[in-house]
Amino acid sequence: MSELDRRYVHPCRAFYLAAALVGGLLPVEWAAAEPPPGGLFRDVTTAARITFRHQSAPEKKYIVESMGGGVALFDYDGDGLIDIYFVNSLTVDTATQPQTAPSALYRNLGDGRFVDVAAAAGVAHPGWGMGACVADVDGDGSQDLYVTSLGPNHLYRNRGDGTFADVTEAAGVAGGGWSTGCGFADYDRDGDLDLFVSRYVKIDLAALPEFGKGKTCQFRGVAVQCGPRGLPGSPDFFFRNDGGGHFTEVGKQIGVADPGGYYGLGVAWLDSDGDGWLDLFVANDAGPNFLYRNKHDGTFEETGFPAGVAVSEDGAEQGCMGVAVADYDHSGRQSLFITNFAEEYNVLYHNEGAYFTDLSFRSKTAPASLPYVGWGTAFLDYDNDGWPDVMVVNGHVYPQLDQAKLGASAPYRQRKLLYHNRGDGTFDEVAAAVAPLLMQDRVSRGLAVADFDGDGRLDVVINDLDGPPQLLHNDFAASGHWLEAKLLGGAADRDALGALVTVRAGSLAQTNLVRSGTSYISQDDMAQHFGLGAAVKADSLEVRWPDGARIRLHAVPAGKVVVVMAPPADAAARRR
Amino acid sequence: MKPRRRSLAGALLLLALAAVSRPAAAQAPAAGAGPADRELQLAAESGSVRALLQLATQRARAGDVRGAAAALRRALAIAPNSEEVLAAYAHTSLAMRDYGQAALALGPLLRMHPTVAEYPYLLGVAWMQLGDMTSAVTALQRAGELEPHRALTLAALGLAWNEEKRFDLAKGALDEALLLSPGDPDVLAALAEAEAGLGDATAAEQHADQALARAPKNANALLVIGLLRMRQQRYAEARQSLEGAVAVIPNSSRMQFQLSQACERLGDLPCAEQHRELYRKALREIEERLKALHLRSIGSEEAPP
Repeated sequence: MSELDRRYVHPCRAFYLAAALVGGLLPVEWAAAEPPPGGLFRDVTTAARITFRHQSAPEKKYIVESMGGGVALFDYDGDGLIDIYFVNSLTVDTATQPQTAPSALYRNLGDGRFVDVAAAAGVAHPGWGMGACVADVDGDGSQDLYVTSLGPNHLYRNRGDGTFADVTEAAGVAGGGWSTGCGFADYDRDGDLDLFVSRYVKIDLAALPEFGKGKTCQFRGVAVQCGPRGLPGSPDFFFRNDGGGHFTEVGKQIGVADPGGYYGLGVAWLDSDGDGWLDLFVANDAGPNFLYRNKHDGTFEETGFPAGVAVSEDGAEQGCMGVAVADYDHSGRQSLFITNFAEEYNVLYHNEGAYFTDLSFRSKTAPASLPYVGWGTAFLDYDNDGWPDVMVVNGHVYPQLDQAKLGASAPYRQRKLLYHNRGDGTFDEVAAAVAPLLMQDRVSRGLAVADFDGDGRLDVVINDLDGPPQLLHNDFAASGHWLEAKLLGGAADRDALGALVTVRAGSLAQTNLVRSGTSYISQDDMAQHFGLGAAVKADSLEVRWPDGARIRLHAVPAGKVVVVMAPPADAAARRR
Repeated sequence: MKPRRRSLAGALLLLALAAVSRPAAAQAPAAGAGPADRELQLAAESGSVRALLQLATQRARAGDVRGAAAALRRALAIAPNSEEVLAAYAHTSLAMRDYGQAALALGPLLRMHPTVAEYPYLLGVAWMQLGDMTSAVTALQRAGELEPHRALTLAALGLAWNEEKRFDLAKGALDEALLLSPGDPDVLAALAEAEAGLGDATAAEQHADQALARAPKNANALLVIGLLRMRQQRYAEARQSLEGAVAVIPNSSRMQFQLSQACERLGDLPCAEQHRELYRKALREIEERLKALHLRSIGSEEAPP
């Protein structure tokens, strides 16, 4: 590394390197257990002592009982280990008793075990929880937690001592109604983080649509919950940070309010046109998706249709749930992968620069997805070959489906999908061959990705509806080399949200964007993971910071977590 | 669960399929219409199903399909389980493009006469037109079991699989349909669509070209060429082909959407907006039709929008 490189590598790097090498240094229980022969993932939920169970009414008579919950992966206590927050939900019957379904914050003990500290930390009872996203909102070096809900949302400020303060009211970000997805970003580059919140159906618990009543509450001749079609949708929220810990809702003023009340779910910040400004994608259920292009003046323009991401290639409005973003083909542009309802298909929108093209069938990702209702999704390079793969978790919304004529749809409980990136623009669905565990039929919702034990292989956490979650440890034996970049941004944006990391190794050139809010109403770890294949070092690691400044490190060895600090503002101005 | 957004790309073929199966009553050319309400009244008052069927036949032969349907509704009221009446009503409804009524008539026919291949075939066609591809496939597979290797059934099944995005299954059915009905432009176009979905652009283009050589205004083939040109980023050619397609089927949401995208890529924003609006209109029409369907029962008089 050059002198310049050293200057911007965090002095605590040694700590992170130790964490990265944890597979060899710590007595990790996961490593002791026998992996299933040939299995990519091993379910270590029980070994990790995770006993959380998401709650919902068994019959799911109302749509509000089918949509939770999310999961957030972040280091809440700053010990360098990734912790897990599972969002729990209530039911129509328990709606007035929030204590019956506590959410859980599992602290990573570093030895393969976790312990639920939600009650002590003050984040156990967000009400009827839905999803979560994370950011260091106040720039104090500790990541804060935002939880979306049916009812008021919650902003939990991390005190940095292992506890959180509910600052929702003071911050003015409670919202209301039925919120689902969320994500923070400094969209206007004013130095503080703003917040987008998607909302779903307008619903009154005192006047719920009657189960199975009417044609729109039937599926294949069987009575099911009503909605979302036939129910009114809710506009979305955009909370602009005023500074001083207070936000103002400005969705309408800046053009992201969704006055039509489409059914918003997954949220993703991305730089869709490569102009260095963050744009916003919103996955809408049973309606056209939104792509809000940042106009650089504090407002957005909705461009879903012209950009080609509103509907499928057929012009079909799909039941979109989750969204993943990646430069999966090393084009340098961020493409979108969207999960959808059964008998539709998961869509891969390839970023062509000025617009997107639906490559779902040409990429061979679509056919395998047709029977399933897809939710959480992530690009993850599970084998570290340098090409981001895709994972999707599935599960229907109607338990009654199993009595019905199924047609092309899978039953209520469904397997997961794992697509291996072939590096030529196409994918193979390999779950059965590579990860038999993923073939278990479950009803999954949130999914998030992190390397929990620092062994350089990405692990997965899944929150199921009305059931126990899964922590899946990546056991892939033939994994390639890897590199992880953890960014420390400026004072007001410690997470460096919106920073673009580019790693070059031989012929591979990969980019990742740091983002808050991912997958289906969930949060991945913000560290940026890169598979390097056979390369033992990255030729370069470049960061384009949110303010446009750039840093390039050279000859970065593989197998390490590199912590990169943002340059001081004056230096940034010189290097822009 | 939201309704499927049926592409109308195969509408011409489906209508052709339905027409082939239509009874003589509905096929006869118009020859001096002039149905009189009094005539209908008399037939109804006679209480004779036979008289009403004869009246329906006369009216259909005179080109008055609505008049025929009115007579058959009277007959249905008298003999709701008569195969002859139900079949005539189903055929007439298909001819009127009132697919909801056709499906309602064909359901009991299927239950009462489970070995007649024609009924599940027609029901499959009706479901396709209504946008319920899952039900369409089930019915068409049943028709195929009862009468294997029938080109019409295989072609309809191929179209339904295409709509379901099960292109591998569609190609299998359509390959066989093409063997049984060589050179059929509708089958060729549907096969091209399946091949395009499977990523075989060469075969798709070849079959679409063959379809257009035989039927230059085949909308489905024009759509396939348009899609292929979009993928090749040859937007001007895509636009030309898609304009040809929407000229044939202006209420196809899929075709209008693709044309709007081609215009967008060419920078012709007024064209893009115009066709996006037509796309939205087509979607709304499908919604309205489905809503209307939910509100109707067999023999009700309101035609779908």
